[in-house]
Amino acid sequence: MSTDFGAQILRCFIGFVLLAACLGKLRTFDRFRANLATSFGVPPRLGRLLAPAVVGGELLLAALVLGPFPRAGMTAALLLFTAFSALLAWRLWHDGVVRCSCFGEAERSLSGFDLLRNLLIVAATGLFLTLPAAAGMALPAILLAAGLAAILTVLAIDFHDVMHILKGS
Amino acid sequence: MSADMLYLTLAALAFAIALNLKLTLAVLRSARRAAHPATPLQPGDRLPDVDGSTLAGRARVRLAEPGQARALLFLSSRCPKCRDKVPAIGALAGAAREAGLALWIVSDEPRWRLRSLLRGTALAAHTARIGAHDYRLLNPTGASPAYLFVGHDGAIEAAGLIGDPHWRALERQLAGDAIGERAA
Repeated sequence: MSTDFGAQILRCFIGFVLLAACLGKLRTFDRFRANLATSFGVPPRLGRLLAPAVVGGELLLAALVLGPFPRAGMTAALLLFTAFSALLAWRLWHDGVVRCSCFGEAERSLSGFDLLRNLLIVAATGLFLTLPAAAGMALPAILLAAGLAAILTVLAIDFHDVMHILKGS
Repeated sequence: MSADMLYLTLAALAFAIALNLKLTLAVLRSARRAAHPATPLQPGDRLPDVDGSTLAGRARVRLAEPGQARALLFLSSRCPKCRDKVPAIGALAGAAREAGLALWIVSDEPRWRLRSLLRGTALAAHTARIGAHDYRLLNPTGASPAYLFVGHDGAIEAAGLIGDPHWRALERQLAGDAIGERAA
């Protein structure tokens, strides 16, 4: 029960994170598309295709993770998060400044805390894949897991702000 | 109470906590904006007494110490324009020192970010790190690339963005001083 319940929390957490990333980018879609050009050097014409593809990909993965194919969705999410994190880390190291709007952030650029958050998400995704496939759970238990995952999701999305508040600055 | 009802109650509590966290963070962000109204320092204001440490050597620096004119520069590693200005500021630092003007890049960013921003220049010796609270006192709007010119008496003589007419006048003056000294 406990392993299954933990796997369910991780599954909901990653699914919610993907949904939040998708909705955040849609909310600030023009800024996200502009950031692809300014921070990642994507040509504007390619950016017009890539931006909706990224948003659509995240929505598809969220549907897979929360839907009937969680392991396939989590495997793809692991690859996506790892690739995104590596790209962001490289750009941050190379340029010192990256604007991502990963979750629809305003003008704030990427911070070390954002990178740490991404690594924790990668670790959570990897942990889920190491757990045995979950047996069916009752709906009330799934809802409780989803509630706990919602708390983790809020903390992950606002990780930068939470850490700064904890630092007292 | 059945186990299912207990699960549902806990689930509702968990969602409520998540919502509460989200709203609390939004309130804190609003409160922070309200607590620090973005009113920049103006000519005639006194420079707040702020201490920092140099990026190179970590020596203590008192930015408001009277007795020497100084230019405080606000550069951010997150602003591409600031990166473009760094080489010109690096070239200006020597002339400023010879002209008796203390030039300080003031920042609250981590040392590794500042080193990355100033890579290829000797500006680490002209960079002072200060705390985030003190930084907001000096540059409440977070403007960058920006400057404050401070007189011998610690009063602000000019404030603006690097590249504006006051800044270009300083560049011309320092370039003229340097040429004059070489001719002499």
